[in-house]
Amino acid sequence: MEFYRLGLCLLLCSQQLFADSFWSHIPGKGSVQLTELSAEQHQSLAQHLQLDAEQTTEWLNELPTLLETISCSTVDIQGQPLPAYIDASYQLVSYAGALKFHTDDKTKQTIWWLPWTLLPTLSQLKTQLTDLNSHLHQPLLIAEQELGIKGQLIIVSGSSISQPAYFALKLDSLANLELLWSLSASAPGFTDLAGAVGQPLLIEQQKGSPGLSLLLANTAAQDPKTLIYKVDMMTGLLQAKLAAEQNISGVSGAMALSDQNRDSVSDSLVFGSTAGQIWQVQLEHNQFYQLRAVADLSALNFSDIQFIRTLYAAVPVGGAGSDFHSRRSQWLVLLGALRQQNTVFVVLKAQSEDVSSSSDLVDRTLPESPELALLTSQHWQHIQQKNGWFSQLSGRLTHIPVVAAGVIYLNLLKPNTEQLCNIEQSSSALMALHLHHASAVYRQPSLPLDHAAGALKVKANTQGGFALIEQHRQQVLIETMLEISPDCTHCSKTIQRDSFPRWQLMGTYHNEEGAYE
Amino acid sequence: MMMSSKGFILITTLILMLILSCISLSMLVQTQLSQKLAGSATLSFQLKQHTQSKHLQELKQLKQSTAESDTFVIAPCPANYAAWSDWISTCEWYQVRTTERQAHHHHTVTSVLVRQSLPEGGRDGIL
Repeated sequence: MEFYRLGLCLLLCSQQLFADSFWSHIPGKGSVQLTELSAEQHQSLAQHLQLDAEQTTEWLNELPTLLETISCSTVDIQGQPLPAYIDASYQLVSYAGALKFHTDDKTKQTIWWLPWTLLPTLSQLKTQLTDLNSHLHQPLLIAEQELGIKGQLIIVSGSSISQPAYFALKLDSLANLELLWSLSASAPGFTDLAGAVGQPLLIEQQKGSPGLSLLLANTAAQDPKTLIYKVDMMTGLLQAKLAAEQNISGVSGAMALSDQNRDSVSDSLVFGSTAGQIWQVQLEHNQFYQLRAVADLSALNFSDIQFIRTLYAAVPVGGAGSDFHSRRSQWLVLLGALRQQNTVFVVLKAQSEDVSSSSDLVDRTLPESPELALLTSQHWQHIQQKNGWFSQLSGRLTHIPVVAAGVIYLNLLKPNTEQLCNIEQSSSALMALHLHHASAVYRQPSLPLDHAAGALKVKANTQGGFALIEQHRQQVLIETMLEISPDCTHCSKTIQRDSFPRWQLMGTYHNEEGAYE
Repeated sequence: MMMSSKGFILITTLILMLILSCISLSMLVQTQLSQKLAGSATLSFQLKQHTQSKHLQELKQLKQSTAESDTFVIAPCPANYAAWSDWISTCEWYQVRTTERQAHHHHTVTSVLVRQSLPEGGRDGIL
């Protein structure tokens, strides 16, 4: 009799949950849809939630409402589109590990992947989503091109509430989600994993290791023994660890790989603490070595780092007059950091020996009135002599800034402090700054947007140039993109499509051999 | 007395003739050598010019061709003042080598070029 009652109850639950689909992975039993649990799976869930059968049914009943209350449209804007071979209409967003596949198409259902360890603490997610002092890093999507397996997608994400864990999902369609691996403190080699809010980083090619690897940050707030793990992408097996030294703690989830010796193989990792200390470590043959501090920007009072990227650029080193055209090729570190709910954007010239501090940077925050934004030649010389600049921006970055033809395009969202999760109450803007001196490149330094913008893309326009578009809505944000020119401080010109492909002669060598008789 | 002076004149004449022939022979050889030397410089110059013009033609052909060549490798873009994020623009490094031979002499010109393009939708191709 009891069994029939349970069965009937489950049937009713599944009817109510029909609108969306909810996936999880029961350890030792495999991936399950929470709407279609067998009696045994239902019992496992009850044990895990520490509830009795009826309470579990009630919990399942309330799950859609719970997830609806957690849903945060200001976080959804960070969503990444799924590749076309899965379903390009879907966007993937992570709520600190709870993955939401959502679409604007009303005929299609929303799909949730809920990590098993997260289920008992789902209601706590809201606090994490509305914490303005930290950034919610989004999952890594590894598509078929990188995998070399047609039609397959791998999603790697961190999950940070209760039991921190990194996990990978394998899918060939949205109806078939499989957990590939999950790494928490109970996994061999990961005993000191105490924070998993970072964005996993893919290492495509490494000398001596044929497969793909991932870098996972241990974002523990206090005294971690390991800072970064290197794992095999397909199995999650540990390959290398970066041990903590130099009193490094509070590693942020933002990291970037670069190819310092420019041989097409990534060999250097740049990462930072949430407070703004930046380090660089060399990475080769499953070994981390030469860890060194790059900058200490803690005086700028950051609460978290949103993005770190590196860029190889020809940086002006001269000044006015005949020196104007002198330039040096060097690596730049681009940093988007949070401070008092706003973003501070930093462009740092990576020095080989010195550790830059905030006093080595020039404050290039755009003034309210455009006439004060005039850049004199003394200012310009000052910027060139210093180790970079920073600019305080109103709002938070929602996507990785795009650098196109020497212009940095920044996507900003300013949420309403009383309704943090309401995108309708937020204001959005697109900013375009000069890479070398952070002045406005376009007539309007900031372009207010009606709708919050998703990822930015460069697309050919009908006038023979390029337009900056917002990928999700396919909305044109800048019709004709400009390119900065080294001819003068503020010179810029339209990027012409017919100037591509651009050929650059790097060098010509002559060789003579033999003799005449 | 008369006989011995005649012999002396003959020997002196012979020696003088030998010296003169040595001088003229060496001068002949020297002239031939300098001619060869002068010629080799011209030939070498001609060969260089020929290789270079052929190389320039090959470079021109490469720049005009739209077809993808199999001699490139994708590598990081060189530093630019107007820099691009690496996921937007793609750089291909080409090596063009032209060799010309003449007798036992060969001249090679090698150029390294970078072709920067902007694929639609960036490197992942999604727009």
